[in-house]
Amino acid sequence: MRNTEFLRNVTIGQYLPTDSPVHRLHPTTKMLMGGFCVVAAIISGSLGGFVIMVLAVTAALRLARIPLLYAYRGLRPAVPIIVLVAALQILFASQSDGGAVLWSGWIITITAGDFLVAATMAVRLVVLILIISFFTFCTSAKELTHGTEQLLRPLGRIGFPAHELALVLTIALRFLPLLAMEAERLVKAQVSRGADFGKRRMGLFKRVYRMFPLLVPLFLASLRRGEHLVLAMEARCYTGGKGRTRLVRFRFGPADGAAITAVVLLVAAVLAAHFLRLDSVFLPRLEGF
Amino acid sequence: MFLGHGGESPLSFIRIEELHHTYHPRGHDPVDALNGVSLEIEAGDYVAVVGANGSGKTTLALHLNAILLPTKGTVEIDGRSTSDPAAVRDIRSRVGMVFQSPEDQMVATVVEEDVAFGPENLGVEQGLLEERVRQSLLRVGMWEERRRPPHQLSVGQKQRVAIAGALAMQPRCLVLDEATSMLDPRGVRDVLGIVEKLHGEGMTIVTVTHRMEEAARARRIVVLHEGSVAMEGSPRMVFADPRITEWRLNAPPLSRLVRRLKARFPRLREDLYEVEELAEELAEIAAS
Amino acid sequence: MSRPVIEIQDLSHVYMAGTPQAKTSLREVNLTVEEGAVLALIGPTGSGKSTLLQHMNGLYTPQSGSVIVLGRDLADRVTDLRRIRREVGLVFQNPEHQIFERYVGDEVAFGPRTAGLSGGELTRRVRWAMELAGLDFSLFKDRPTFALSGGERRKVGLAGVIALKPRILLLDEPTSGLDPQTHEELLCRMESLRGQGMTMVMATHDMDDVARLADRIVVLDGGRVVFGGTSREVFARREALGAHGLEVPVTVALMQRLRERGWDVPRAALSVEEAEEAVAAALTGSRRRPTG
Repeated sequence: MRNTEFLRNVTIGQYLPTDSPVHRLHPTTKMLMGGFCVVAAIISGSLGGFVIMVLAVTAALRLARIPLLYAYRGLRPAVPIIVLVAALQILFASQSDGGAVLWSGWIITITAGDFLVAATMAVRLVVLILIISFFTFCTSAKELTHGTEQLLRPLGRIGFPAHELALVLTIALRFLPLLAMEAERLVKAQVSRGADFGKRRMGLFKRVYRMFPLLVPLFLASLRRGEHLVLAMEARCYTGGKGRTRLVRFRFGPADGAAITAVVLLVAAVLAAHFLRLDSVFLPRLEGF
Repeated sequence: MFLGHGGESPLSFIRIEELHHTYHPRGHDPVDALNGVSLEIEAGDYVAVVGANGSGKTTLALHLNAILLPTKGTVEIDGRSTSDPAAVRDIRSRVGMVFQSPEDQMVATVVEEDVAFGPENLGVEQGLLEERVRQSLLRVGMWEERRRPPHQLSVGQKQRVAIAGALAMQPRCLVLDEATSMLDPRGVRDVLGIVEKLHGEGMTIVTVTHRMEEAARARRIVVLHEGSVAMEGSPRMVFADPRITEWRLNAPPLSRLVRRLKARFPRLREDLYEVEELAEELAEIAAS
Repeated sequence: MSRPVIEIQDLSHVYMAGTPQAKTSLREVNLTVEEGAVLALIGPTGSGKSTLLQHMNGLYTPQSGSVIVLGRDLADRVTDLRRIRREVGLVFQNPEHQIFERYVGDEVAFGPRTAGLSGGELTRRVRWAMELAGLDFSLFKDRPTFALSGGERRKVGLAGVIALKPRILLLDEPTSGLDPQTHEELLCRMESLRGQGMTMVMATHDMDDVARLADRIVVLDGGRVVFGGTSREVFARREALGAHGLEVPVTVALMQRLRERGWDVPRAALSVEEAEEAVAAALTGSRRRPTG
């Protein structure tokens, strides 16, 4: 058990506070932008559309002053998956109108159209990762929770616990790093007593049992912290979201309007490329090489 | 002392009469944590409540802001009873509380937002919120750190933020429940310094502790033993009492030294709590 | 001069190396611990005390420099780290937070059982460890762990590590957060372990504990060893300690204040009794009479 530094792997999307015009947008705007783009990327099947999105996100990254190399490096862990998906598509799944069959044997069938589909899927994954990364680079945890609360507040009028939900989110974000550190400490402490947390060869139940020295105290620690937190919140008169005022307030500005408009246009372009089948207009039909 | 309806004694900010508290843990016999505690604390006082583990001191502290309610007896804060549901919010804004774990009191991910949590709950208006947060952070010396996330703060700093969070509700009394027991020496110094400053500004302080050096700084010590008040008095009186081991406490090392030296040199003053004071006294004895 | 059981040379350590949050926690630390000695590591929070302890039982292997424990080089791939961790026990801060078994006996038995003990031998070992930690075996072995007081839990945590029968005991803030009575009990337990020849290294903020137990002190700040020596030597350097945010026990502070006034008293008194004797001797004047 040589490496016990857990926090190293707990990067819930790094926030890079470069204080750009994008960062200063209202959190709800950013959430809506991210949301629309993700939905568009999921619906659309147009390679051309995705290429447009990649260009758009890259431009946005520049505007947000995020180093492009850093952003693209975030794709590295996903490369094996992308390659795997593409390979599966090319080798096993075939389009009926994919053009000439290039090779066929056993369960493998490769058609020219497969490459196009594979490329489309690959770029779609890239686009999704870039959008989500972009969102987390520009939005801090606090903005996330306030943004969520603001989005859901209209629902609060019909009794939906918008503030409570936002608070749950805040508390989770606040205590997650703590729990990671606690887990690290626990692993070290139990390992010092000779614990080993189960080898791959063991049966499932045995492995879970071996994890007790970590899981039980971690669970108890969470309960303990929860109890303390509740006392502190009660002492400070927390009784739910009703009647609360708010220190932090975000204001909508002209930049938000511009951003939303830009995103709407982008989404429209992408969906148009999909529904109007613009790919087949711009890319040559694939009939053999 | 006037004891009219609603306890209108002008001096007693906290009045506790024959307080009993029984816990009912599931599957176990009931536990009597407090057995008839009676206590009065005047506005502006600095009281330390000491006792061994299990003496009931934390239970007592939690009664002071109506987190726990009496099984029997009454607790009145500024004339209002904690058993009155309508008074609870008021009481909690008058008696601020700081707990033991610096880590587990902060709700928000940014210091200034956490300090705002209390007044936000009270519905303090937007414009006033910022000022309250500012004043509170300035008083504990954490204004410069207002935008930092909690995990970047030291334990002492976290505890100071917790104090600011309590101060933001503009209490008249601050209760510290073992608030220094998880701090390192620097953190203890910082927190005690702030507490003393607040006391100087008129805040009533009730500190629950088992660190006798801390209790020595209070004006009055209340000793709890097995759920009742075993003794009340000045630090000098309490540390000199031979029953101190019976209560499972011990006097701070300096006080112990002073008592031993006094046995040999009766002229030595007894209420000495600082090394420098003792050195001066000894010097005077030597000179004579 | 007994033989060294821990030898640390030029040890450096970077926490989370290679990430943006990398932090140097130890810088070229040199340290020797002799068999049967009690060493105290003192220093402000963040000075690297805990990290240093975690190198001594093989939780970390040295990134640079060397750590030799009981004659074995931790950097050597052949070294059986699990064996090291049995011979060098580390009691973490707040060991009560590690408890996961329902009953005290099982919790204490965890370490030795994983090490291969069973049956009568296991029971005997658990009994031995519990008694050493101040817990009566028959009274406590079937007690549910959640029904214990804070002090009892702390003792269970200690027993759990002692049950490995280590030759060296490392303790990280052993008395933090304890009420006076349990604090005293724990100190007595540690004195008794010392009396039985256990080598101990403790990282602590409590100077009175250090005065009572430690033979030698090493002062850490910013991951570096600033200075060290016997307890008396180190405590005598009050200003140097103050520069690192450290205090001395009140008895030591008193001696130094009196010396500043010209009194002939030792530079450090490590207990209330010692201080009393020193002051009385100076006042009743077998020594040169102080003029004030």
